[in-house]
Amino acid sequence: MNKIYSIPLFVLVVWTVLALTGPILPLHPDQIALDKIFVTPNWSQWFGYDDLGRSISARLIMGARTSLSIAIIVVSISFVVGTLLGMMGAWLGGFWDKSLVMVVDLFIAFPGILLAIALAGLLGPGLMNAVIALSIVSWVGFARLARVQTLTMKNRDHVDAAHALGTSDFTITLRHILPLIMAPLIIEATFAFAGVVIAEAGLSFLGLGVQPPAASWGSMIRDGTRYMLVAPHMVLAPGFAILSLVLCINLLGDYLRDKMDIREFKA
Amino acid sequence: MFLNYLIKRLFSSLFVLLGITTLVFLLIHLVPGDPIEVMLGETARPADREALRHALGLDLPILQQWWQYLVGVAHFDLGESLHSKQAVIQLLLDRIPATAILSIASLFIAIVIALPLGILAAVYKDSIWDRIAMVTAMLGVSIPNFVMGPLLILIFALWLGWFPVSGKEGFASLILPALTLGTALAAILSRMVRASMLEVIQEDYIRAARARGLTEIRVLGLHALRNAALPVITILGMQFGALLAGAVITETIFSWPGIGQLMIESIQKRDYPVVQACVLLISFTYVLVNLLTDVTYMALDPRVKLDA
Repeated sequence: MNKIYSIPLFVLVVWTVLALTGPILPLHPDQIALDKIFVTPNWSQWFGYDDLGRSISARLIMGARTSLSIAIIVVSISFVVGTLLGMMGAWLGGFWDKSLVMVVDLFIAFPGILLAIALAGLLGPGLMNAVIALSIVSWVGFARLARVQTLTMKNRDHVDAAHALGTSDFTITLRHILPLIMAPLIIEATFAFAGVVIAEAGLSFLGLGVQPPAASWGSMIRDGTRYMLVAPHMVLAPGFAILSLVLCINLLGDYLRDKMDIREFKA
Repeated sequence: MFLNYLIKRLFSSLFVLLGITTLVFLLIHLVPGDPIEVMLGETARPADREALRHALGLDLPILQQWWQYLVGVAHFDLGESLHSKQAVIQLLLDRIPATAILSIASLFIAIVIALPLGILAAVYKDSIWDRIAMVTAMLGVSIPNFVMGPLLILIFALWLGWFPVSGKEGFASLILPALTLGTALAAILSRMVRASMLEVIQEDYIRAARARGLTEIRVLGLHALRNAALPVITILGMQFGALLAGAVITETIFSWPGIGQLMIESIQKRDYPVVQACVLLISFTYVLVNLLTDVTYMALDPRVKLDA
């Protein structure tokens, strides 16, 4: 691995470890200290305190937990459902494929996270609804990719050979096609992960994600914008947290893409 | 041939619009529990509830509701706001200019940043310029607008005092929201311009142009850019959707009185007909912009196969 890519990998690992160990660390993300309201970053508290006197570093770590866990759940659901549907469409062809393409085209017609905002808004705020809203939007990318990839694999010789040997459709798709289309799907998953991190923070920023007192980077920024003149660190800290995580995932995604050299992915 | 394509494309777009309308219609049925109760609150009188249920047509069979909604949309009748009792279409019309101005300004900023950056990166591939351009692009993609917006407000409005913090009063108030929205697009676009230029630069007609002794500026500006522009325009059309969706958040940050702000306000007020209408309007715009870019692309480039 290229040396320069160990930096984003390191940052990603740090966030993951912090998120995983968050609950057992001596943190008090919800503890209100009236004497520490708006305390700016200093040597003992690197990120300072917010408008309620809560430690921002503790809340950043809890935010990382929210962000990463939602992203993992949403990407996993989308990956499995999208890949399954995409492969099925391409494999079965005919009516099923046409129906799939129609549904996919319909979902793609809603730009960006608009549909997620509308869904989360109507379902009501909350962690579960944010996951549902984001999953409904995210599976489409995987389905489209899995479908196209399966179509190119469908008529390969080794698939014909498996057919001739009497292998069942289920086994062929699972063992002879899926492994071959895994690489682009993993790259898609990387970028989808970065996308979901941003989307979750976006929903939380709009007040549609996790609800207080639970911490999310998006809602921290939302709270911070009200006190920007007195306490800019309330916005800057979660802002740079999001940037660091998303940037590192995107860099790793780029690295994977170059490494696996998948041309249709190159922008 | 072109006409055939146009008709086919029009039909498929119409179909997508129908699908969007259906999905948006179904949104209201996603509201957990009774949407009427959510809208009016638990303390509402039963008579009021029934009145609203009837006014929204929610007491009809679902297929009939769906048909009525389609007919309504076809006649630009999107119902009434639950909150202000105004016609929803009027609320939308009031907000469209602000969003249109913001989108066009952002698009302009994106192009102004991305074109030179992308061309520079392509022409001096692997040089320090290329690195700087691509790092900038990567940063731009990775900074969401709800981070960029507050950051710009902090620096240029609060610390330097150059622009107003929020609102829509005059040209100065447009700059920060347009920058917020434009930089994200510029990042994506500059990568596209670079990739597209890199491909074009290798073509024979560029070598031919150089061989004819044309100046480098003429070669790049006239021959290369013109050919590289076509795929970029398609991408621009596709990314316009991300711009519109981003406007929802950006308008909220800057209290910019557009469709996006209306949508978020309406979500908070549980004014569902207005939320539905905003989603419809933004998605319809996106479909139409894509249709337009596709058709322009086909009309402009004689090499594109129409039956593809």
